[in-house]
Amino acid sequence: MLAYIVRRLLAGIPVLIGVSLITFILMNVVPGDPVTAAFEKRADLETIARIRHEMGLDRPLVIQYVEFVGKAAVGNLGNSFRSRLPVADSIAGALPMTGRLAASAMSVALLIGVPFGVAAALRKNSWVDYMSAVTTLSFISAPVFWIAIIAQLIFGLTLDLFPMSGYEGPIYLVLPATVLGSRYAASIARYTRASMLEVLNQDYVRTARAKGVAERLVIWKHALKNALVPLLTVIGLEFGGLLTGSILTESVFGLPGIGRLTIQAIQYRDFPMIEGTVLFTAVVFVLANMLVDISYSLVDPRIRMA
Amino acid sequence: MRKYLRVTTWLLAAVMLLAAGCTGSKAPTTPAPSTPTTPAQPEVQKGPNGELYGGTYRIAIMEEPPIIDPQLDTTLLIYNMARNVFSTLVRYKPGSLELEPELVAEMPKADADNKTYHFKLRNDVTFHNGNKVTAKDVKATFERMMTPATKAQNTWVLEEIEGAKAMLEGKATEMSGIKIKDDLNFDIILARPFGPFLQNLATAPASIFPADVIKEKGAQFGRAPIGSGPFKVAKWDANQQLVFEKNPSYFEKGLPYLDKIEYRVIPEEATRWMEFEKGTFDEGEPPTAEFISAKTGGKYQFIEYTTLNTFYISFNVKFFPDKRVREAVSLAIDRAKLLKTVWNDQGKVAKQFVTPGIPGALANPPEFKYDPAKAKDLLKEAGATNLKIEAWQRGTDKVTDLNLAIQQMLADVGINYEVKMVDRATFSSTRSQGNIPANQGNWFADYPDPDNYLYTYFHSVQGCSMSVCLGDKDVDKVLEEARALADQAKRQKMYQDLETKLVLQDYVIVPLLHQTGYIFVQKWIHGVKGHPTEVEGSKLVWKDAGK
Repeated sequence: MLAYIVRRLLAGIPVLIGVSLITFILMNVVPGDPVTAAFEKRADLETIARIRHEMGLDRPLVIQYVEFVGKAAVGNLGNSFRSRLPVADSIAGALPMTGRLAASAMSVALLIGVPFGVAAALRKNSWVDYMSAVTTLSFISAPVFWIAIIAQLIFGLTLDLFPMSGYEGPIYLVLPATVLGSRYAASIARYTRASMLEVLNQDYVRTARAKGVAERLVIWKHALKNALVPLLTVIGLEFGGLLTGSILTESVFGLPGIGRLTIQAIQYRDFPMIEGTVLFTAVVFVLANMLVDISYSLVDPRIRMA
Repeated sequence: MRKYLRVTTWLLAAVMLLAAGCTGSKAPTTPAPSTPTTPAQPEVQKGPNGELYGGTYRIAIMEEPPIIDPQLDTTLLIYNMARNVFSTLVRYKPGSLELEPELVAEMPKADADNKTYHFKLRNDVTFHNGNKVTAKDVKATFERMMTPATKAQNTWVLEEIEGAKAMLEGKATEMSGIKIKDDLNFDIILARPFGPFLQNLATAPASIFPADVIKEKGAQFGRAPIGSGPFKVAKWDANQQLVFEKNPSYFEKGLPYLDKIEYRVIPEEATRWMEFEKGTFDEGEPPTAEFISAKTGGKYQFIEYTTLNTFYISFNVKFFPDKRVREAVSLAIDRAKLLKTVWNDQGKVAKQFVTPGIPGALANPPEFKYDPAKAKDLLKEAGATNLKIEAWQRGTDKVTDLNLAIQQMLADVGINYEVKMVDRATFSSTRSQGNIPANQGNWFADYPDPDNYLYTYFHSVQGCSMSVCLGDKDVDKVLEEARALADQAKRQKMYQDLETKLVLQDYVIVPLLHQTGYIFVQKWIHGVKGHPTEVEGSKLVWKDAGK
């Protein structure tokens, strides 16, 4: 197992290098640069050229990239062009907020999604199933920022039940987590339903029923446990996605997470911050994929780590 | 099965109810070091006109300032924050364009050559760290701006000082034009006379920093700034909120009234407005669709004030060299209709580029005619039927609205006006290279002088970065000469003649409208006035008790 983990981690290194290289190329090819992006009003060419020179942006691209890789390898991601603060610190500072949002949204998603998925599978083709299908489709299709603003309007402003922006305690997460979670709940419900249906048709389920096992045990102990295995992939990857920031939710609810950091970096062509957040995203996905694969072997003894 | 569904539903309902019950309680936040709020006492301290002390002014902002350093950044938010945290040598009187002393004991006097200014600082000003403000700090601050390694964007403010350009070019490490006589007295010598010099010193970029702190902190100064202003930075949660606290040793006794200012970051416009409606914030900006109901609803204070700005369509004369085409565009636009339908009459029709109210602006120019028939004739004459104009836009709500109306009006005379929306970085970099064919934009005056408009837009040193790309050596000469003149009447005549030729006759830029400034504040806010330069600060703001 340990060897497997080490191998997977080592395999992640070319991924990181590839991602950082592609990002670097894109940043320098796309129009716009950090100096002019910061100019709100006037911008005479002399000043622009001078600042670019001071920032080292007029050096050959190869040198700039090699210097970046060299520093990143020892953990120095440089300083943000905008805030002048270390990129690593900014990402670390935004991580708790994203983590909270991700964890609470995923909890809501599982709490709602799994039971509804199971119910839909058990009541296949009944009105419960159709209602569930329509609802989940709506939540997946509706833009999350629209759902968010409606939620703010109804529960935050009109009914004044929950705060609608900022973060000063767990109560501030109710609306964002529910909005974000409902979207993931929808997809989890659909996956759960599909997975359950497949499992319920298996021989061992029929055997269990034939043996006289209580229906409740058949569902929850035998069927659901097996149905959850493919669901793990979905949950793991979606949680990884949540950890890299939910930009729209963070923007609407004013939460200082990684999503905000990333989008602002791109808007202002903050090169060190862009590289930092992109590398962070890559690391999260490499780890998430690895953990999902490992958990497979733990949950399903038939699967061996190759 | 049904049972489990029911259980889950009840569980969820229980969670929601529990959460609803906890609405009132908040998790304890780390207390910021603050002065104790005024407890309810029989004798409440009041200002000279009944102003109440205490309270927190809460504002929602779209994004956090990357740094509070007006040398390095040009956004209005940072300028306003700078007015709260720093002081300048001179400043504008509240709501007016007249100058008055701030850090200086009296208005600086210039010698007969109009190049040498004598400054005498007040004796009673300290920075937030307790050190006295001296002439050394002024020199260090100005030299910091002109040091290339600082990467300052606002070098234009001090460029005319002797030795400033040499520093920028790396030829000097000290500014020869600043001569310190003692702790409180110093002279500034200009390379050549520059009329608006004192106005430049009143702008936020000319804020004075403590010499020792900028030396120690370097580029990080802007994240923990120390100034001599009425507020100091108490707490900064990255990307979340900024809290300013009252400066107890501010040199203007009895000010400020507020205990704190809280800036909260909320990127989404609709959320900011909803929170304002809920009462969470003291100042707000409605989305365009909500403007009328907010203004006439009677729930908030609607404060109007004059601002110095001009909204225009600019043409890159390299793409549109024929002045008949530019004149046709001007003739095709019904400015009065734009004002009424898009802006709800929140402004005035423009008859000139340099905003009226600025000494040196055109005094009584004729109105721009609205004549679509003549526009069509001019286009035919210029051989430009089926003309396509690609206007680049860096989208904000209100600018886009004007563009949609203009598109319709120009279509009526056969011009295909295509609006190309790009993100801010793309827009800025393309513009600086002079590759934008046309642009509907606006200019808010940095200082009340025609030079700020005409030099910025028409002198070739700005290259094409304002998208006009005039590149006319004769125009350059006039602009440079007018800058250096001491005779105000003569200067103003030169600017008026230049604008009459370039704008009224040649339509090098097509002025559209001037916007009247406005702010929405809650009913319990007082002391917010608005300033023509859009930079005010919160020194004079106060709130009703208990709000």
